[in-house]
Amino acid sequence: MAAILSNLAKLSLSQPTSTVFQSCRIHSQVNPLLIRATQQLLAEPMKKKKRIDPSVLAAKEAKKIKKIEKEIKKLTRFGRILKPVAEIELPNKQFRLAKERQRETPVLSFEESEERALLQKQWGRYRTKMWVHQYQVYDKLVAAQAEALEELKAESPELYQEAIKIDYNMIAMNFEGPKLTPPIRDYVPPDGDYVDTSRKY
Amino acid sequence: MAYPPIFSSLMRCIQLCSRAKLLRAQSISSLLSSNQIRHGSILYSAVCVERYPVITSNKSTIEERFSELLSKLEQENSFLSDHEVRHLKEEQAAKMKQENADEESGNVDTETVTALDLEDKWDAEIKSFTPASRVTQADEQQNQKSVERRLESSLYLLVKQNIAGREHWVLPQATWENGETLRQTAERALSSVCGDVKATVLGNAPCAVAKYEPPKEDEEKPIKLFFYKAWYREGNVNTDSGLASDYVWVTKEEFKDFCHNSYNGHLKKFIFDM
Repeated sequence: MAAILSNLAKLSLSQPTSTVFQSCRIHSQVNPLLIRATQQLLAEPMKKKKRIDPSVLAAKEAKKIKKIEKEIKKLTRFGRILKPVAEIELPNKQFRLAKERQRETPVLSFEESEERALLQKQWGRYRTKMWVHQYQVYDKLVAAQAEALEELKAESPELYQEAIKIDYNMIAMNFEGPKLTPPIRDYVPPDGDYVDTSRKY
Repeated sequence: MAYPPIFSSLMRCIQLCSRAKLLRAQSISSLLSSNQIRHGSILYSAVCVERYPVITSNKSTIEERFSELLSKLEQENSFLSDHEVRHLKEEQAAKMKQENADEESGNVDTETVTALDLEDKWDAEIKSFTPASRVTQADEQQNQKSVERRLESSLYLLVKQNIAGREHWVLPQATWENGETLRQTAERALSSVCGDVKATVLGNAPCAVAKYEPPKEDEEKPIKLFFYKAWYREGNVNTDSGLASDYVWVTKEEFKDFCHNSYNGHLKKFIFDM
């Protein structure tokens, strides 16, 4: 009976109550207990991988691409579709702000409003006169050039041909000014100079 | 006035281009072959160098009055800006504070920057900068040789050139020589008479022509003077070449002080104030 028990003891895990007995056994027995508990993994068994048909996958991809292509086509045909102006609404907050920011306008006296109306009429006449003057100037300039070209043609057709050639150097022309005051010579700006460092492609 | 002038000038361009295409086939013979052709008259090119206005022109009375009215109207129709709203709020807060202070005195004032303080600061900043005067030194000295004068209007370059044995105030001019276009003649006129002046000739076509018939007794050919306009870029006039004895930069109104009446008449054909 004792023999059977000791055999069983060999098979079982060490008993927490019999540490003395165990330590004795380590030294006395030829074969120590080699049974070890493995670490707990806390995991389910792996799921079986679902196999999808490659043809289905390809079809899905193609559908996606087609959708994008369709959108691109639509954009290139119609451009960006803008929201109709009538549908654009200002948020309520803007209305409230506009009310808050109302300026108190002075009540104009009769003379003042009369004077303003007169001045606007005067201005209209003045601009019309200028406009007519400009038209006349354009006409005169065109006439002067036409006369010059006719004279040149009568003199030498070759020179005329040279004269009516398009001057391509004039196409990229930029103008600056006039400004309210002339530039200050050798002016050092207090904030430094503006240098455009954006990359050129 | 059937068409606006811009249309008529466009039409002119189109006509010229189509005519050019037709004629190109006929005139394949180059300029070189034209050397043999004897022209009916002597050709000259003159270049009208224009310095464009640097500053805005002075406002006339009505322009001044109307711009005042416009800014008034704009101010009346505008909404309050952020700055003004802030100023109003601060004013209200100050009033509240005063009322509270009357009831219970002894509040500790904390220093804050108000909208008015900011305005003072901005005023001081703008006062520390003085822009260049619209009236230059050349204007004060009445130096007509300087391009720096009369910045608000266009200036034109006149030179005193010897023409047929007499000195005249004219635009820089030169005789046309075989193998060059009239535009090249104009450019040559500028560089040979005035030296270092850099200017861009505007277009290949002349902008006007002046014709001079010789007296019948003389066996001379008539003269045709073609004008080109040029845009002054930089450089000073240098009359070292001896082709011109003097030069001035003048406005359109000052032409009559220098040029002969008949020459001035030709200039009036293509020089205008807009």
